[in-house]
Amino acid sequence: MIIFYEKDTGKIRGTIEGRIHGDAHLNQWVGGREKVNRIVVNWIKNDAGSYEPDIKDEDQHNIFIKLDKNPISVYDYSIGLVSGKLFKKY
Amino acid sequence: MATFITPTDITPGTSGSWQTVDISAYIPDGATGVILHIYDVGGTAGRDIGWRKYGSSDDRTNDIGGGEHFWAAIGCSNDRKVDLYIGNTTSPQIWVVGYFGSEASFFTNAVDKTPETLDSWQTIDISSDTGTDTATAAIFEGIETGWGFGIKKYGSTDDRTGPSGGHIGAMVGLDGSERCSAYLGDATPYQTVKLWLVGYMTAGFTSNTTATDVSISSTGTWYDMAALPSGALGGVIEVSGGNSGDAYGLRKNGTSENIYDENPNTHVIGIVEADTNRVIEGRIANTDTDFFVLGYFTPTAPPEIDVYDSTAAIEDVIATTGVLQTVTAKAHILNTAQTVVARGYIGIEPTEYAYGIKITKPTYDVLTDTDSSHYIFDSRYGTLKYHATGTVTLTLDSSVVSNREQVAHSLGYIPYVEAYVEDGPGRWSYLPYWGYGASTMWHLIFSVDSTNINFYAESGSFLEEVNFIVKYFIFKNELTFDQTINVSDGTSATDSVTI
Repeated sequence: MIIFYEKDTGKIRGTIEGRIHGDAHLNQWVGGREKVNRIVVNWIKNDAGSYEPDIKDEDQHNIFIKLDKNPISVYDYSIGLVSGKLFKKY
Repeated sequence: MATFITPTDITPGTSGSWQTVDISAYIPDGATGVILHIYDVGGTAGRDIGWRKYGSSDDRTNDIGGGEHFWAAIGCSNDRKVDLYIGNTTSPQIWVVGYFGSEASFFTNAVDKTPETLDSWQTIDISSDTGTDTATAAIFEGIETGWGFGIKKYGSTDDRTGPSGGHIGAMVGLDGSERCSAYLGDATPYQTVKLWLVGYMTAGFTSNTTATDVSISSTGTWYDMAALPSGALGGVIEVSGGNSGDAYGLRKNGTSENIYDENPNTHVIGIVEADTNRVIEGRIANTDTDFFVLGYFTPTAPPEIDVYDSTAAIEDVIATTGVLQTVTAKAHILNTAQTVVARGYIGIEPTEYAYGIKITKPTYDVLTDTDSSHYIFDSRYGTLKYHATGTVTLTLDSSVVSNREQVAHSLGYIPYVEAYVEDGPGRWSYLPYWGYGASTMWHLIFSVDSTNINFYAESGSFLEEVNFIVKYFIFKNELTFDQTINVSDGTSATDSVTI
């Protein structure tokens, strides 16, 4: 999944769904580049031969597994401006 | 079909005994037989010539005249060897000029088909020699045909006979009952005339019941003969008339091969490649020497490849046949119970519209069914091609009554896009979308250009913040709005049509 968020608020503006993102997806953008940043998470094959999000932080790893099953739930999150991580909105 | 190659000299280096010649460097795996152009440059006595399938115990060698040239065909072994015999190492030349594939079969030992009655046309029936095959052409070898020779498709009213050579090859079309007619002159008591069946074709050959006259009217150089029929790759040309020993030549149009020498007396059968315009060149020394097309070679469909049963690749078939032509790869799609749930094939053909990928529903024949409702997939029809999917949000509240979100798709052209808005939990409505409540109305639309997709939301003012989640689907299909389409054939054009 690629997540686009506002640089100054962390609000998620849009997404590109999927597990593998090549140039065609990486050249796509939501919102203006001057105000919007992005997080790109591809899935890779692990030692067991199955695929998982290519992200080491365990909590974030688990969030992206959930987002893979329910992409719309990404709007339950915002992006931490310092950490760059997803956190649940309350 | 017969496949022709650049003529290659395969004359054995040893005379006076049968020699095995390995021709695997010149013809591909899968070849069943070869076409030979045999030429004696003359001047040396002992001009016996022989050709037989590798492994055969046949032992037919016989003298040909100095300067004579003619064509023959014979089977080869699976590892592409033939046996050849020459009487001396100076004057004979044996050239391989082409080969046959699975469309032709050759006997290890030839079958004697000499008619009991000589000096008249006699029917030759090879149906008892071809097993379950139905032959469309017969390939012969003649001995002592210098006393008179003629060959034609059964039912033909043609009547061309004349002395031929001491040892010749011949090929002729068969009728539906696998019959042809042959004329052999009676050489008794001097020699024993024989006609041997060495092989036959089952496909890739179209024969003329009445041979087509393609004679040329001038001597002195090479002339184009009338083009063979559409689709022809080469022809079987009967050379007839003139005087014994008159020079003649047949070659693919545009080539530099220059075998122009004596006719084996006045009758010979040529097996000759044509150019892409289906033209063969002829050259004669006497305008009484005429050329007639007994038949011509056409492409044959290569075998179907069953993806489940074979590791053969389409490229292998193309390599074997030498040309890109119709190739079919079949596949059965099975469910866990091993029941066929779909049938598919990939077809490739150099003609427009005849290639593609198709999958039919169970029980329908993917190779012949023309009802589009029986297909799961058919690449002849346009389909949407996925590019990307994702979401955007548009927020409206009491102070923001209109908003826009932009997706830069980077495709460089106007793609086909579809979008839905979530207008309730788990409920999605297609854009453009209009909604209304107790105090306000709202709508969402989008526009597409070659750079961006712009999503717009407008309302009469909500009392509190509302977030619209829009899910978009971008397809690679390009939308064209500025083309004029030809009414006649549906192709794009720059001209306009008035209706």
